[in-house]
Order: sequence, then C-alpha cells, then structure tokens
Amino acid sequence: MSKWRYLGKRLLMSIPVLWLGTSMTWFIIFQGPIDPAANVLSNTQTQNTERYEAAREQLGLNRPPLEHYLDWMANLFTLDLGQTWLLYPGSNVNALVMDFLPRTVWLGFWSVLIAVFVGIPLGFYAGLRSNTLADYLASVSGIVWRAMPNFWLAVILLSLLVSSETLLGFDWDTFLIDLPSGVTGNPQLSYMAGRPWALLTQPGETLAATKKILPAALVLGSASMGNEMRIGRTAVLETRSQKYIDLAKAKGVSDRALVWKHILRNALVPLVPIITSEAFLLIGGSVLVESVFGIQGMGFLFFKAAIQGDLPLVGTLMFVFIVLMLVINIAQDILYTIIDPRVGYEEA
Amino acid sequence: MSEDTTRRRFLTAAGSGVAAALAGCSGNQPNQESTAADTETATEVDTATATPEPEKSYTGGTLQMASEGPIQTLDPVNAKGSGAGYNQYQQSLMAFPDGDLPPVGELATDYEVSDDGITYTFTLREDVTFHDGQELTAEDFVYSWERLAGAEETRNADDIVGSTFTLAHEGNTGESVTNYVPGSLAVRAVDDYTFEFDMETPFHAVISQIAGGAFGVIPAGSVDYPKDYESHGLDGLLYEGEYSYNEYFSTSGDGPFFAGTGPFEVDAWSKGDQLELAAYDDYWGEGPYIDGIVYTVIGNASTRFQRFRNGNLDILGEFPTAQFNPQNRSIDRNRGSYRTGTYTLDNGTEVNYGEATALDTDYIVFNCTRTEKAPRQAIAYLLNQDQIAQQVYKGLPDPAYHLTPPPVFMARDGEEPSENYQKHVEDGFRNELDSASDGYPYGVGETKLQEAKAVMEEAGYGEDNRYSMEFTVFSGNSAWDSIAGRLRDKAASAYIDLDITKADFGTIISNAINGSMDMFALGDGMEWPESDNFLRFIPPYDSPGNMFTRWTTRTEAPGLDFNGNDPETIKQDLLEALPDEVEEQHVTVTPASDTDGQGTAAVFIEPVTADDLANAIDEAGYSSSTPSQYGEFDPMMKVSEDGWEDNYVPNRGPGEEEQRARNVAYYIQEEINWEFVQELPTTHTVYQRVWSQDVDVRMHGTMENQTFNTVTIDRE
Repeated sequence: MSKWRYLGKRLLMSIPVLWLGTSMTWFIIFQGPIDPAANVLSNTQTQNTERYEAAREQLGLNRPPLEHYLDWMANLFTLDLGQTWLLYPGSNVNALVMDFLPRTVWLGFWSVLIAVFVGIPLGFYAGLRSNTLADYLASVSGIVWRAMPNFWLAVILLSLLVSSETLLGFDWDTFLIDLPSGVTGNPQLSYMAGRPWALLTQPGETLAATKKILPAALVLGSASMGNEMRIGRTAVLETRSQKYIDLAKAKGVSDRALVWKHILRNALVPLVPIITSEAFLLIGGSVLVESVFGIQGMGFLFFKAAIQGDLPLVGTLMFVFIVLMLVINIAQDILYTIIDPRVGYEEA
Repeated sequence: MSEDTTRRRFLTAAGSGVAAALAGCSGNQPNQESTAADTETATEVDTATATPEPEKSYTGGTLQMASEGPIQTLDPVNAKGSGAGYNQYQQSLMAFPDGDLPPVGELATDYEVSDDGITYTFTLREDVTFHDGQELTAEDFVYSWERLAGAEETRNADDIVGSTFTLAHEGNTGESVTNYVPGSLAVRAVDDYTFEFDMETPFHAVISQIAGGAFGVIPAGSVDYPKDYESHGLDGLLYEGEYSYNEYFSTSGDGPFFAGTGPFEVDAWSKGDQLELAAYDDYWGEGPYIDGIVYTVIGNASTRFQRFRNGNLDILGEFPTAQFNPQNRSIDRNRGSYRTGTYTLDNGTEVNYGEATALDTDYIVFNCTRTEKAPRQAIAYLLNQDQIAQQVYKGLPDPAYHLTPPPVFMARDGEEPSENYQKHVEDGFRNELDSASDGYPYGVGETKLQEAKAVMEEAGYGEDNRYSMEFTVFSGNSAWDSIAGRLRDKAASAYIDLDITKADFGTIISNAINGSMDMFALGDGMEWPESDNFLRFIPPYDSPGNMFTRWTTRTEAPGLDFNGNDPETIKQDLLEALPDEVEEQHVTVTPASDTDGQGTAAVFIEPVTADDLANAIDEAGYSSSTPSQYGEFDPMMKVSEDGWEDNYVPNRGPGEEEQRARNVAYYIQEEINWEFVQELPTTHTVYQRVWSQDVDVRMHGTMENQTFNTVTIDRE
C-alpha cells in the first residue's frame, strides 16, 4: 500500500468518527436536561417569562428534534460555526476563537517546553545512570509528578504563590519581574497583535507574559513531564543494551560520542509521538488549569459555555475540538511512519 | 391621532450642573418618583450652595475598573446585563444622572406627551456627534429602536414590544415577541432633531424605561437591518449596513467599529480580558477629564477585592461580605438614597466608601400547588428578616417585609415612601384587605415558633405527621446557604422537614418555569421605579405554565369534540351549563393545532372542578377526554385578579390620579402575598462601592448607572 493510499484510507476512516462525535455532542447537549433559554433571564426581571419564550423560539428549541439536528449538522459541516448565545451574544465563534486561542497557545507552548526540556533530559540522565541513587531520585520524583492531579497541583501552587511572602520569604508578584495583576489572570499578549516579531523586539513584555503563564504551564506540563521522564529513561536503557552500542564501544568510540551520537538519538524515536500526543492534554487539561488560574483561554471559554448553558457555543467548540483531535491523530500516524519506517503501513 | 390635543411640555434638563436643580420639573412622574426627586433635589441644591463643588478640569490618568462578568457585547440592544461600561460609551434620550432618580434628558433637551398619554415627542440636542464623526439625528433613534424590537440578535425585544412598555407595532406579540414585523414600530423622525413615538397603551414609566441601556443610539445604517428579512416576508433590507455585525460590535477583522455618543469611545476590546475606552474629545457635555478607562475582566470576587486592596483597581463596585467589617466603616454623609464615608482596609489603607439602596428584593418563592398554605405561613413565622440582615449580611441590607423596596413604596405627593413602608408593616397603614389591618402578620424582627406550630397543628400536622419540603438555593452562594440552614433548624421544631438542595441560576429558572420545585431562592431587580415590576407576577395567571408561584387554578378538558360548531358558540354553550358566577373571560375554547374540529375547553380562576367541567360539557351536549384540574381554587384569587384588573390595568398612564388607583392594586397584591406567602421577601439589597482616595467620583444612586465624564484622578 502506498503512502497516499494509506493517507486516503485514514482520512476516509475519520469521517464516521467525525459524524459520530458530532452527533453525540448534539444529542448530549440539546437532548439533555440543560435549558439554555433559562439563562437568558438575567438577575433582574427573573420572572419575566416573555423573554424566555422568545429565547426558546430564537434558539430553535421549539422545533422538532430531527429538523434541529439536521440543520445543526449542516451548519457545522459547511463551517458556518454560528454565534454564541449567552456568553457573547451576537459574536460569531470564529472571532471568539481568535480572541481566546492565543492565550491557550501561549500556555500550551510553555507547558510543552517545560515538559520537553525538563522531563527528557532528566529521563536520559536517569537512564544513563540506572540503579544509582540519582536514578531512584529522578524516577520517584517523575512518578510523583505524574501522579499529582492537575486540579490539585494547580490549587496548591496557587495558594503557595499567593502567600509566597510568608511561606517562601519572597513576594512572587514582584520577584524579578513586577506583575501588578498578581498570580492569576491573563498573560498580556496584545503587544504581539498583528506583529509576532514583537516577541523578540519587546523582551520586557515577553518576560512578563512568560512569568505570568509559568505556574499554569508547570501544572499543565507536570503530568507529561513525568511521562517523558519515564519513557526517556526506558528508551535510553533499551538502546544502551543494543548490540551496536557494544560494537561502538569495542571500536573505541569515546564515551561522549557514544552517548550523544548513538544512544540519545535513537532513544528519541519513541518520544516523538509522545510529545505530539500532548496536544490532547492541552485541550482536556487546559479546561481545569485555565479556570483555576483565571486564564481566559479556549478551555475557560468551553467551561463557561458549559456551565452557563451556552449550548450553541459548547456544541461548536466540541466540533472544533473533535476536528482538531482527528487532525492531530492523522498527523501523528503519518509522522510515526516517517520517523520509524519499520512501523509502516503494510498490513501485518 | 392626538395631534390636535393640547400637549403637556416638560423640561428634561440636561448637563450635570443644572440637571439636579431642574429635576423636579418632570411633573408627569408617578408620585414615588417625584417624591424621590424632591428629596434628591433638595440635597443636591444644598451641596450646590453650601459647599460649592470646585471647578473641575482635565487631570488625565486612566481609571482602572473591574468587570465581574465577561464583557459580552457592544450592541446596545443587548446592553442590559452585557457587562461593563456601556454607560460610558453609549447614550439614550434620558438618563439617571449618577444613578439618581428621576431620569433627566440626556440626548433630549425636552419632550411633550399628548394628553392621552400615547404620543411622545422628543427634541434632540443639536450639538452631538458620534465617535465616528457623524452627527446625531432623529433617524438614528428610529434605526436603533427598530433594532431593539426586531434585530436578529436582540434579546430585549420584550422591553419595547412586550407586555409592559409597548410601542405601537404590528405582529402578534401576545404569544411571542419574535414575530414582530420589522419596520412597523411607531417611531418617527419628524425632522432632524425631533423624534416621536406612539405607545400601544399609556404607560407610567416611559421616561424611566427609555433611560435603560437597551435604548441607546448608534448611527442609522451601521449594520444591516433586518438581517433575516426573508423570513419576515420583506423584499430587502430596511437599512443597508456599512459594516458587518461582527466587525461593528465584535472583534472580527479590524473591529470593533462601534460608535456611540458617550464621553468615552471604544478603543480596543479583547474578549475575556479587557475593554479599553479612550476619552472622546468632541463630547457634547462636560468632561471627560481623564484619558480613559480600562475594564479588566476578573471573574472571582476575592481576586477583584485583592487587586483593589493592592491598589491596582480604582473603583470596586461591591464588597465581599466575608471581608466586610462594619467597624472599619465610617459614614459621614447621608444623602437619602445614598451614604458616603470612608473605610479602612485590613492593610491600613483608607479608601472612600459608599452605600446606596438598590431597587432589588431577595425572596423565597413557593410553588403553591406543591406546597400547602399552612407550612408556607409557618415558614413565614419562622423567618426572621432582621436576623438575616444583621447576621448573614452584616447589617447592610434592609430586612424585607414587602416585595416593593422602601424607596419606591406606595406614597402620595409629599410623603416619604420608606415611612409608608414602615407604617404598612407596623400597623397596616392604608390596608386594603382586612387580613393586613395589623400590619405584617408573621412578626417583625422575631421568630414566632409558637404561632408556626399552631398553624401547622391546625392543618393537622404534628410530631407524628411531619410535612416535608425541598428548598432549592443558589449553589456557591454562602448567604443563601446560611439562610436555608437557619430556616431548616427552626422548621424542624415546627413539624417541617426542609431538605436543602443547590442549583445554579439557570437550573433554578428552568425548574421554576417547569414548576418542579417546592420552594426556592430568587431575587429580582426593578427596571423602572415602581411596584408593578414585581407585583404583576402575583395575580393568578390564566395558565399555570410560566407562573413561578403557580398560585392559580385551571381546569382543562382536552380532546373536546366541536360537533361542527365554532369555538365561540361552544364557549357560550358551556357558560350556560356552568354556574352563573363563572366569568366569561375565565372560559376559553381553543381549537387544537393538529386535529380539525377538536380542541380544548378551559376554565381558570374559578371554583370549577374537573367533575364540574365534565358535567357542564355533558350538559351542553359535547364530549371530551376526562378533564383535569391544576391547582386549587381560593376565593382570594378573584380578589387578587379583580384588584389588578380594576385598579392597575385601566390606569397604566402617567399622572397622580392613575398612580393612586395603581397603588390600590399594589396594596392588594402585597397583602395577598402576606396572607398566602407565595413569595416571602427576605432582604432589600444595598449597593456598596469602595474607591481609592486618588479618584474623585460621586457614589452612584439607586439606579446604579453612572457615567464617569466628571471623574478626576489625582495620583500621588
């Protein structure tokens, strides 16, 4: 089977997944117990049900379910993502995503970076010195990081930083870079709007935005950090016992060259798909971490939409997430075959 | 129309200096408003003469504000509840200056009302430009109000074509406001600076209603209207938009291009983060004296407080009850509707402090078909409003014994509304019903356990026969948790088992509409300063659906065979067969939507049981499925309904005489509510605000909406 046929097959297979996922989303949110129209009545005029009736009409809740379903699906698949209902009435979802996505991307970028640059080196280090005290220390801490649930770690870290002056002896808000808005809240990314090079030309703003996102990124990256550490360690151990390493050693390759050229490069192979799969974590995990740290990103938007019953927005975001998942999945499969041709697409 | 009749003319003094002094001139106000106006005017004039305000001038600086919810939209039609700042960038014909009653002219210089209370003619200011440079004309109001009624995005159509403030229009809005016919609203641009509209029926609170944010003005033709013209049977757009909706009101492309007439213009908006406003240099009125305002979205109350405490916010429009310590507060000026002073924060910083009585009431709603009268009354005996105000809310709010808040309680010219409130509570002053002759029947500021037990025992309950109810409160609201907890403990000794459950706001509303809760917490705010805001929900409805209290009765026979007759004939036949006292308007026969020649017969607010109706149908020579009855009839239901139909409905117009008639209806409803405890009031909310010593801003009044055009900042 050629690469292209494999790709074609993979794409075809994703269509039923997309349909199933979207249909389930519709069923769960529109046939469930949540009544989105009720949230239209604000805190004033709570008993004014005129507005409620009008909202039901506008939302199409009075229409036959099948008709509503078909309409909804048709809109999504023609990429008419529609409008939010409650959170930002009248705004279309595309504009909304453009406002909220940068904060999530910034968070995701740093959490992947932390995981990659702390987890992998630590894993390799442990793998190279297996069964020493340093290895045990690294392995155990890796498992502990992995085991701490995001929401718990987020709350603990937050309370630690908020009272950092009494607990740690320095004030996190003013430590190195002054953050007037405190630990929680959005990183200020507007300076980059329309000119991404400001990331480098305005280092002050970049540093402030980085410091702001760091605690949340650490929490979000913690689980995958532990993961990468453990897999990195195993990969190094496995590679180290390969015959070609023995051969290289026998040929008199220096220790440094042995580690950097032969062991580490090969040990990276199983890690690459692990890193790409972290994108899932960013979608799922960011909902929690963003709400705890008050970062108004995609996760927070989704959470708010779900809590307040902005069903059209929930549905649309779900659709976006499903498409994103499918794309990442396919990309990962393809990447995998490129990195390791043995995995291939030949049927066994 | 009423063009020939003599008109009454009113000044709508605008501009902050003269506004207060002339506020009393809007003499067509209902007497509550005039009363409020008089006191307000007096105090304002006092300050003006005794301690003249120093001349203000440009100070610069950016005001840092917090927005509690997400800033949702810039679209005026959805301004209500949209989040922060709309008072700063958009304006309407009338406004509440600094949140004070009564409303005065903002973009209008004066107005006339025809004698029949139908036609309102407003003269507009001539020196107003929008933020995009266009001049304000009457056509802009025609466009903006049309959008409020008919735009696809509007959530507030009921504000203009609903059942309270209703402009003449086409479309059957009795069932739903969504079938409004675009272009049919009776709004006219007589000339560039004269704007006129016709009411469907006279309404007493017209000028308060149009001071609301939803009536704000944007340039005509900013966006397409109506976008969905095909579904309304129109051939094309009434207004071709210069911008797309999301470019104009949201952040698509280079948006928002929004333009209003306020002292500040929208500079940048990042959703979920910040709304930045900049001073508008060509503002028609006084100020602004500062460079701009930034509203930062901070969803968490304690985070907001923390930021204010650290000096990163200038004004905080609330005070978390947990952090509030009444001893650190000192009030040095009481101006009637608001009080100001200072507050010392726990870090030693002294900040300015203000309180204002809100037109809000918190109450417990009972579903009267799921709960019996005796336990409802027992709960009323047990509830100690004073204790809740003192212990749960640290003494801030007023304990509530009426649904109507004290500042707008029924009063005649020259009377102080809050005094009448007290007198009615204490000895039933001006009572309409005998049951209220001694004032509030369930004890003022005390828990009456013996009476609660007695009323339960009388209804046949006791230690061996306990009554149980489910009490639903807002989740995440510690005050309601505490109220519910106290009530549960007391109720246990009066043979009532209260089971407390929690639900979020949307769920409570949804379940209230479905009628699936026994009792639940709710609060309500007034849109215009009069009792009908709340009391219109007390008289029994034709149909229990949508009535939160379900204090009504309806007997219904579905599957009624018409025998080829038309509904009106059947109705007359049924009236013949029913007892004589059944009123004609309490019987309906409606054809079924799916089956021809069939339908439903219904009798409501009448002592007609399911069997009575079945017999009547039989006697009249028809057949139907077995009728069923919802709710139980009580003779007082008729008293309540008649009180409303006779005194309120025909007297909805402005003027002292009609006001007095409406007051009778309000007294009846308040007293009915005392007797049957459909809604048990707990407290009347108080607004709090703290602001930094660097900022010179007045405490807002009862209506909260305030424009910061005269705010100055002096940072040290």
